[in-house]
Amino acid sequence: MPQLVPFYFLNQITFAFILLIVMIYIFSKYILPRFVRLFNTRVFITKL
Amino acid sequence: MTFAPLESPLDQFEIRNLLSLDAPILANLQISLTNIGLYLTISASIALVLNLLATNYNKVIANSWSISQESIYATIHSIVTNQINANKGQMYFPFIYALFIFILINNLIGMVPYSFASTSHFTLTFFISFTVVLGATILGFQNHGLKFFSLFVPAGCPIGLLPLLVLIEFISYLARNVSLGLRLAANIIRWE
Repeated sequence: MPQLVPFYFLNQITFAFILLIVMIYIFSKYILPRFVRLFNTRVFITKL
Repeated sequence: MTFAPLESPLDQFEIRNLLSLDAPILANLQISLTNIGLYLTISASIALVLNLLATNYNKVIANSWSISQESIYATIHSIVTNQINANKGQMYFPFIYALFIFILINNLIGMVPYSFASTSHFTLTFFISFTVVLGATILGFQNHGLKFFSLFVPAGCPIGLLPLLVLIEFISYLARNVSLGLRLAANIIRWE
């Protein structure tokens, strides 16, 4: 099982950790608020 | 154009070094870009670029690209509001969203022939499952204090059975770490 050879364990975990942190930051700061603004706009237009 | 035949079905999951920096400073620092690192970076880039490109320029009326993004958003939003909390659970929505998209795109990339299935590695899946369950436990103690232990007591159980049931619930809570990570990796490895 090449999955159980421990040579690159830290490498995988470091990559996954850094990428997840970067993704969470970019999603929560730039991408997901755009959805909220869009849904907010739709609600506002229907209430006019 | 020829492809090298695979010796064993598990050869495709082997981690190979693509680029490495081997420096005899800071206790033999070795920084390497492996194929799993490359594919994880590709999947994160796909997730971010897809979200940046499929915006329909912030128009109120959606086109097909932004409908796909909005339906993913709605799916994960309903998971968060149903499973965590309708109001306070939305705080954790970006985390669940990033985790869902990351695992989904890694699994889809693993289906492409001659590519690399990152989620077939137990290290990666166990890392994700153990950190998420550990974080959930810490948050549970932070928010509920000692009342968090009421998670181990099923509703309406007789007092005589309580020690046994608490033990069983505790074991199942610990086994969830392993089963969540094992199930994903085993399903991706499975050769059919």
